[in-house]
This record gives sequence, C-alpha cells and structure tokens, in this order.
Amino acid sequence: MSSRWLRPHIVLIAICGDLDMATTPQVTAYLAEHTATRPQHVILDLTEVEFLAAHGVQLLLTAQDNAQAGGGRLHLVGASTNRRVHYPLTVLGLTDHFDLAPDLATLLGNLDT
Amino acid sequence: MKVSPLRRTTRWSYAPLPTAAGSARAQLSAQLLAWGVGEDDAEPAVLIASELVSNAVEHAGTALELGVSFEGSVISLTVRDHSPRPPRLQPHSLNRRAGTRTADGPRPRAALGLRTAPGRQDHPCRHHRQQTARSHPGYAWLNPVRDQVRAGKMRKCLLALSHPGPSRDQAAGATTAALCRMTSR
Repeated sequence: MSSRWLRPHIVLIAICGDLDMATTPQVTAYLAEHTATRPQHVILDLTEVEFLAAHGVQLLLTAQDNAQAGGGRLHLVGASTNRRVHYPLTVLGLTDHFDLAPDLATLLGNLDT
Repeated sequence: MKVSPLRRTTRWSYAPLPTAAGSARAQLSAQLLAWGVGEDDAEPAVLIASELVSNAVEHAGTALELGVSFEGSVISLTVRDHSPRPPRLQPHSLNRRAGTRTADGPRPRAALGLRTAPGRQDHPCRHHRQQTARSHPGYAWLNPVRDQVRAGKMRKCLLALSHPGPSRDQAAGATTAALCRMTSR
C-alpha cells in the first residue's frame, strides 16, 4: 500500500495483492490513518489488486460511506480495467454504486475543473 | 457407490485462519488448471470457494475441508466444517452495518455470515428464507451470480448452491455445496 497527495484535497491510495478476510484489517487501518484529515477526494488505485473477496467489497463500501460522511467522495481507479476487481463488482451489481474512473489522468482532469 | 473413472476429485484441509481462503484459492486454481479447466471457467468456482471457506472460518471456527470434483463440464465444490453447532442463517439487512438504508435504496452489502454463532433462533429459515437469501451477506455475494446468469449477462453458470446443512456422514459439522457448469466447452 502507498499513499500520495496529488493536491491538498486529493489523496491517492494504491492497494495491491488480495483484498480478503486476511488482509482487510490492515488495509482498513491504513485507510483510516491516511484519510484522517478528511480529504475532499479519496482515490483508491485498485490496478494491482489480485483478488477481491466479499470482505474487500465491504471495505470499499465502508470507505465510500466514510468519505461521504466527511463530505468527501471516493473514486476507484483501475477497477474498470482490472478484471479481478471488475468481475466481482459486476456480479454484485455494484458497478454503478461506485465512481469507476477510466484512468487517473481523466479523473484528475475532471476534479481540477 | 459407483464412481465414474472420469470423475476427478480431491480435497484440502485448513486450519480456521484468515489466510485459509487465500490458500484455498491458490490450491483450487492450480488443481483446476491441472485438470485442464480454463481460467475463465475456474474464476467463478474459485470466487465461490473462497467465500465458502471464509464463511466457515468466520462462523464455524473449526478445521475445515474444501472438496472439489470435476466431471464432464461440472465443477462441484463442498466446504465442510466440524462445528457441533447447527448452522443458522443470519437474517439481517444488507445495510445493517450502517443501521439504515442508503439514500438511494438497498444495495448488496458484502460482509460475510452464512453461518452464525449459536444463540437465539428467532428467525427460522423457513420464514426468512426469502429475506435471508436476498440480504444474507454470503448469499448477497452469490445470489447476484444467479441473477446475472438469468439475465444472460454472465457466461458462467452457478447451477446450485446449498444452504449450510448437516453433513450426512458425521454427527458434527455442516456442509455447503456449489455446482458450477463450465460453459467454454
């Protein structure tokens, strides 16, 4: 996992590997730590996620709820192109529930305007 | 019992650790590949097995076995635990974590919990089958698979998924089974 502030109000957090029962506790803690200042936009880069289990989907839903509760928004990058993420989201009917950005550059362009 | 020579089968045992699902995914993927099952056909089977194993770890908390058999175009998965407690469906809202529904209506919440801890039995499956089938997290994961299949949106097919039930051949433990049909051959 890594995080990078792209703008004063935009944080990019990249998650890699499996998002399942074994790993979500650490990822949850990491997200809490790196979004504690309530950034307006939280971007999760899921390009390197290798498996998305139900626990991982729950993590994404919670992350979105938390962002919205703080007046912010959650954006997912890599989810639409990474089949290992897109497939379970499609199965669960959640592709419209999240903001699936085509790529980071496009997303940043939209957020900057 | 007569067993077809074309029926291939194997199983693995796991300790009830959070890492069990990852191990199960790796071993099942490798086995299916060795049996000549393509990645597209293996993917839904691995996904389902992963959730069933996680469920057993979380709610039975005992050693468990994942079994797989493959014959023709059907992949059969079973996960068996050894909990002396009978499995119970856990009725709750998809949005129970938040306590309320989201503004734009109910959404699948994908936490797990096919098998619940012992205690109250105030929601017999019979009465809440529909509710639990729709809202139960484990099934919140798997029922959309069926919906997608019905809607023709998925190439893969989940033929059947059982609720956790008593194992026939032992006093303790529950078995959950799923059948996946390969569609690429």
